Amino acid sequence: MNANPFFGLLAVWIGWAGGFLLLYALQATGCRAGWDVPMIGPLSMLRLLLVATTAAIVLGLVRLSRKATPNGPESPLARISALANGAAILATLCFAGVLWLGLCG
Amino acid sequence: MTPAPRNTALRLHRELTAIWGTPPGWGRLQAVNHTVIGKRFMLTALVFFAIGGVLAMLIRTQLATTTSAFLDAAAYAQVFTMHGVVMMFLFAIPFFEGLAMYLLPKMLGSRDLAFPRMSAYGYWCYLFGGTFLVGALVAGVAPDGGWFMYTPLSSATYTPGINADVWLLGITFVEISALSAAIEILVSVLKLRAPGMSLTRMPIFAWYMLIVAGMMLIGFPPLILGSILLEAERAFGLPFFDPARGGDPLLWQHLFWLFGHPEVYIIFLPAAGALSTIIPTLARRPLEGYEIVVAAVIAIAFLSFGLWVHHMYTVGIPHVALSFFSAASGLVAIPTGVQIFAWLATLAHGRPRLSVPMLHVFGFLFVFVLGGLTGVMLAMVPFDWQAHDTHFVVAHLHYVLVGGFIFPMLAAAYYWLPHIFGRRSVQHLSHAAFWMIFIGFNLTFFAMHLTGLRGMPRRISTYPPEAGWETLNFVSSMGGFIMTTGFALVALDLLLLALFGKPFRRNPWQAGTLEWAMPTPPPAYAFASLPEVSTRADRIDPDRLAPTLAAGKGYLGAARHGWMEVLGVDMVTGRPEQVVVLPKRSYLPLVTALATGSFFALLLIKLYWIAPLALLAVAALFLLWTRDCGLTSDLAGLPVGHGPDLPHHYQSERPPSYWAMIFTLTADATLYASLLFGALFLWLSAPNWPPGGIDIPFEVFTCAAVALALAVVAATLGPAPPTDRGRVTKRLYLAALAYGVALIVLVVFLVRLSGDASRHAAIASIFAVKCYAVVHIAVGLLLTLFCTWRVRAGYVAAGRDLDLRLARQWHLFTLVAGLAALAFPLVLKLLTGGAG
Repeated sequence: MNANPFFGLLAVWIGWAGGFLLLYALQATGCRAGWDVPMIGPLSMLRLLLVATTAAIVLGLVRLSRKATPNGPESPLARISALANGAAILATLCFAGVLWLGLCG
Repeated sequence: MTPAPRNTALRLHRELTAIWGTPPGWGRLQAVNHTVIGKRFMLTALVFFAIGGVLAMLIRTQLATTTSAFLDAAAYAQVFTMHGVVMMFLFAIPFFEGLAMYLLPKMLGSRDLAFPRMSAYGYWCYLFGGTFLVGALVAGVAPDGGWFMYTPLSSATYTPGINADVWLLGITFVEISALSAAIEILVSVLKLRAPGMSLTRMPIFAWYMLIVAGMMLIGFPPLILGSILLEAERAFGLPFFDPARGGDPLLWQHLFWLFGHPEVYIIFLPAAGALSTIIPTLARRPLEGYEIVVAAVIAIAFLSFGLWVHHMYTVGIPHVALSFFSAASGLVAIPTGVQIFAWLATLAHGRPRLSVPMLHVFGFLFVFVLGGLTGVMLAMVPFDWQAHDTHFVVAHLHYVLVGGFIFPMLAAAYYWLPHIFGRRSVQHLSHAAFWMIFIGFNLTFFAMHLTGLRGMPRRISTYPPEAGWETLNFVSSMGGFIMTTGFALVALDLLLLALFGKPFRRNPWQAGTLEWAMPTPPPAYAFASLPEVSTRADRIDPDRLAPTLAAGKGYLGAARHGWMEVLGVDMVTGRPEQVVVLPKRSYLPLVTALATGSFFALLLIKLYWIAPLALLAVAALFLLWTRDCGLTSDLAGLPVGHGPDLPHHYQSERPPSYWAMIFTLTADATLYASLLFGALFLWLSAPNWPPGGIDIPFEVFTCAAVALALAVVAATLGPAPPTDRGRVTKRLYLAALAYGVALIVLVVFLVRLSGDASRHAAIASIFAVKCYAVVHIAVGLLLTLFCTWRVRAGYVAAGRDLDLRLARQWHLFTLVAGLAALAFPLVLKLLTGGAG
């Protein structure tokens, strides 16, 4: 990340995009494989997987964000990185539907 | 300020013009200069805009009354399809590509783009591809399935003629120019800037174009892949979209909208970049929130790739998946709003001049904000279910695109035409033209919201009197004609500006950006010497800087060896690190584009066995491009006028071509990933899986032989420096042999598989993945043979191994892609439980 600040600028958003695709693929695969049927406590296995994956994505992005701007926002590029990375973490709100919406219908 | 020594400036001007200029007459066909190519792009795009506008008038004439017999349904289908195709693919993107080509080197303090011949090649592909599409309209065989060409309507069963082929082949041809422009812009912005211009000192327009070029690099490959797969289905029966044979029409929608939604932002963001440049100048105040605007544009770029399914809300996708796309669609309004508030704040804190460009800025703000609001409405799933495929959507998309593109384009035209022509508008017609467009536009499209809410569907050629839509449609049509008259006035106004406008000395808007620190119209070399930038590049003083640069007192302020020289800098800090010597003007881009066009034409007329010959011709012509590139002996450091001597780019570690190869492979990898995920999508979602009675082919011998051959390539072409020419040549021969073996084994496999590929999408997917591997291995073989020639011809030595390093990137990618292709049938076999 320190080697080229330009890539640090984009890293968290790239992680967000990867997380987006991962969740969409997991949901589709889970529905085809019938993972929405078996229950683990009050939650279906698929919902549990999706919630756990979402949590992992958010935590991963927060960690990545800290690595991407390790010394704080002292330069213009670091400030832009901090803003972009913060926006990417906020954009994980897109995944909130895994908590309550219908998974396969 | 001491006046520049006039005779020195004049001598330098003559010397540089001889090097950078374009000769008259037939010599114009050799042009590679960014100023010439940029202007050609913009002018051609405006011609296509006029064609698209005429088609729009035909649509509005047809819909003005309920009983119109103006166009029959078949002709109407071609007209509305081509209106969308022309406006989206032949006008909007190419216009801003042209503007970016024209402006970026000048704004960045460079003399040209990184790959001038590629710019010229892209232009010719665009011109020929566009002519191909419009010619089909004249011949009555234009695409007629809507600009997004949904399957199964566009499949051979329901569109048996060549109409859909024209779209698939024509658009793919045109998109070569978009991809080449994307790579060109990325490398140029990152590497060819004025010394001292760090990333955060770049003019804001360069940030926008950098991000847009990245979006184009990722956004276009899924469309190109979709076009190839659909053409393969239509031509050879490979059933990627046929549900009866394991395909799925929704795969087309996914691939198309993976491109199609970012496309909206690819169109809007360059326009926003122009606004972010124009508004501060006209408000006489730097852009408020430069840093937050850059972060917002990055956010828009990524979010725009998370919206594609919002065009598919009604196809039956589960709620949770819809929520991802709906939320992303709503969220994208926030960074868009950040930009709008930054512009409003700049205007509020400044002292705006109410000039003609500013009039169009206000037009933009009004129209685009309304379009954005209806966009948020449509992003909400329940509302979209009601309004989907109605005229409400047509109204929304025109508010967004005309607001987000046409008004900014007109603002940009009035702002930068003085730069292009060296004359200012006399403004007799400008105000009347603006008001006719503004009023005409709102009459046309506001009424469409209402017809849409009353249930009028898109794409219908007639409607019954009892529907109650006639009055609103009549208002729309009258508005359309008023708007068209406004555009005709703009065309006349701009013509008058070019012919009779008032000449000016320099920098008529008192701008703070570098493009005004040169004579206008600009000379071919842009800057006689390159500036050093020590502040943000929208806060400089062009009037003070220009005479110094003209006198050759900046960097590279002298002609040397007849070379077209620019400076290559560190992409983050802007520290000078190499002298980039650009290739000279040539007919080769034109001839190569003609050969490329012949390939697509042969496919259209179904001469499939001759088409590979055209491809070979294209490859041979591209190799000819390299004749005058490279060095056959080591060069000492080159003086650049200030600071230490710098190496020739061919002897530097990371020249522009190094980055171009990385970006090319990024686009290539996106296409491959789309192909693999497309196949997995079919496994997940398509009916008739697993393929009953068909065995998934997985041959151990083929896999082992190809894997071994690729391993030999990897081992022989590793990163060892070329110290011994004889040894390097031997390694290259061995690698070529290994590539040849892999190619033969895979081609034999494909020939044996070809009979089954039309039986089921699973086999077709394997066929497509293996074809991808074959193409990469063939190119790898070609590059290996090319490198062998370059080594033998003396272009490669210990400090001059760029050819080998570029080829090595390709070999590495081919190794990874090839191994994935080999494993793919096994993965599919496991997923389908063996099938058969």
